Amino acid sequence: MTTASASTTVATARTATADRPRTVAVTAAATWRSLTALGRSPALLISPLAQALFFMLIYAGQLSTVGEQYLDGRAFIAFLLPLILLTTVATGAGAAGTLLIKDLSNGYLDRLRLAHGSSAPFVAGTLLATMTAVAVQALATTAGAFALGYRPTTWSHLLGSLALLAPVALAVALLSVATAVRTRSASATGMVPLVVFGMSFFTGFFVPREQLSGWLAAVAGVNPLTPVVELMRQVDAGAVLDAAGWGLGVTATLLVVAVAACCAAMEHARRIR
Amino acid sequence: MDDEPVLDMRGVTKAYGDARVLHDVSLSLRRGDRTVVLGHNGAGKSTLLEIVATLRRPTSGTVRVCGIDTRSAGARARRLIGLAPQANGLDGAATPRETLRFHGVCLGMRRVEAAARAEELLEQFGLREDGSRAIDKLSGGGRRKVDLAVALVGAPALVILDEPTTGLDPVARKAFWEVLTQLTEGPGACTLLVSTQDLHEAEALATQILVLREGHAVAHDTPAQLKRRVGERALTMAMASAEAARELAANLARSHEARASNLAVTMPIGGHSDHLAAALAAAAGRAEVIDELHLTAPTIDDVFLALAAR
Repeated sequence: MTTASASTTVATARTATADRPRTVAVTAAATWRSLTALGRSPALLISPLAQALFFMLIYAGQLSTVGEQYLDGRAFIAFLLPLILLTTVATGAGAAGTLLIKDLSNGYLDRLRLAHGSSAPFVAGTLLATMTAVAVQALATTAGAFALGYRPTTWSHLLGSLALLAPVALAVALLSVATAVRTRSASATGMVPLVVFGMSFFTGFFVPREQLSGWLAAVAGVNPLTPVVELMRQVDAGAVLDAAGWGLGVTATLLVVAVAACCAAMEHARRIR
Repeated sequence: MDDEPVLDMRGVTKAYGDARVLHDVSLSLRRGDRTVVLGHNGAGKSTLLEIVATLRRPTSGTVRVCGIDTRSAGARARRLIGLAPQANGLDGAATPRETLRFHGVCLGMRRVEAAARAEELLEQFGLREDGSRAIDKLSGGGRRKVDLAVALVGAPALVILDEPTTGLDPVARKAFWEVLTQLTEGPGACTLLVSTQDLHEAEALATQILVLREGHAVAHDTPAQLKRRVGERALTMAMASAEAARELAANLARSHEARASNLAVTMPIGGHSDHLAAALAAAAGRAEVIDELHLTAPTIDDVFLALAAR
């Protein structure tokens, strides 16, 4: 490189970067970067899907003759699908924290924050990429359910049930990010989707809640996931939406808490610098 | 514009509660300077670099980059700073080309501008052929070049490097020092602020060394001046017997400082060539009882032990 062209190049580069936040462009680039990272980490994409298909196969296969009585002739897979979708998107949404923890622990996020002035576009990009992946996983899981005999009452009912997953997935992704930022621990971050997965077994997983008894009925009664799953089942079946109040209330509360946790974690990180 | 310091740091203190990590540190760097920060573990080197890079806020004091206050005009100041942190802070699965383009966009460049700048840097660092390989698959030297290239995407006036050659073999390390030196020369030259534990790197690279001890700046000078500060050149002769040592020391002491210790006679030379000539002349007269002759000078290790060690 000649000295004259080196000087011109430096001047051009400095002018190009001067005082131009371009947050939308940076967020878009960060989203693309996170999508590429997800594509290069197939385990993050495939393992929630594999888990969902496995459980659908086993549960629908082994319990179908028992479970079909709950849905007026519909296949048992229709009863299982909402909860399996919930656990799939929760596991998939945990990828947001996993993607971020790498950048946090090796100092890359610091470099990005230095370049742009704020880490918000990079966190937003990670969330957007994760939600895109979660949407693909939800659709793939539904396709798997179709292969096992699931048929929606109507397409709009199916879409309505899937739409209820979006705020839940976003809440889990935000909690995962909050944990990553606050703890900078990969193991703590990985616990977030695991907690949701564990909680899912303490709802009406295989039978309606009314048929549970003893301590499990009591736990299911206070489990915040229970009304969410019940609402999804009611929407999917085109039934009366008597779980709507609690279901939507829990979802909204979860989302608000997750947003607050994420903001608090980022503010804490900013304060301790 | 050229008279203005690239970095002007005054009275910077950093405290976490009652614990003070930096005490009233001041530093001024001019264009083309290569300043190395030396200090023991926990001396505050990384904190100092992070404050300059605006990744941390000082508890008190001011930091200006090319005259721009990093607290009141942080966004403008950050445009002038490039950072290569410790231990390859990059996405190892990404390629150099992707990483450089992404950083260009993050700095506010349009995609076309960012792509062009990425190709320039790949060419400059000889990474064009490796531009589409994952960073994790490059050699240690290649990864550090990518690290440095990323720090240079915005053509910053000040480049901060934290232990830039950790993990490199001696050949790769020397080549990297040459690259860093070239960055501070010619039109478009930048200024380097480097933290390192490698004393030989400090000596090879630095135009100035800042020594930190327990958060205090205890010295800031050229490597040569720091060495003079901690000691001076000396001629040491290992004699065949203690008696010969005492006799030679007494002989030299008539006109110069000399001392005997067991079998050795040491004569400080400093910068005086006549002292050296006199010592050599006296030694020549007693050559039959001199086993060894050494001309020693303080090393950078001596500087570290005298100034930086706890």
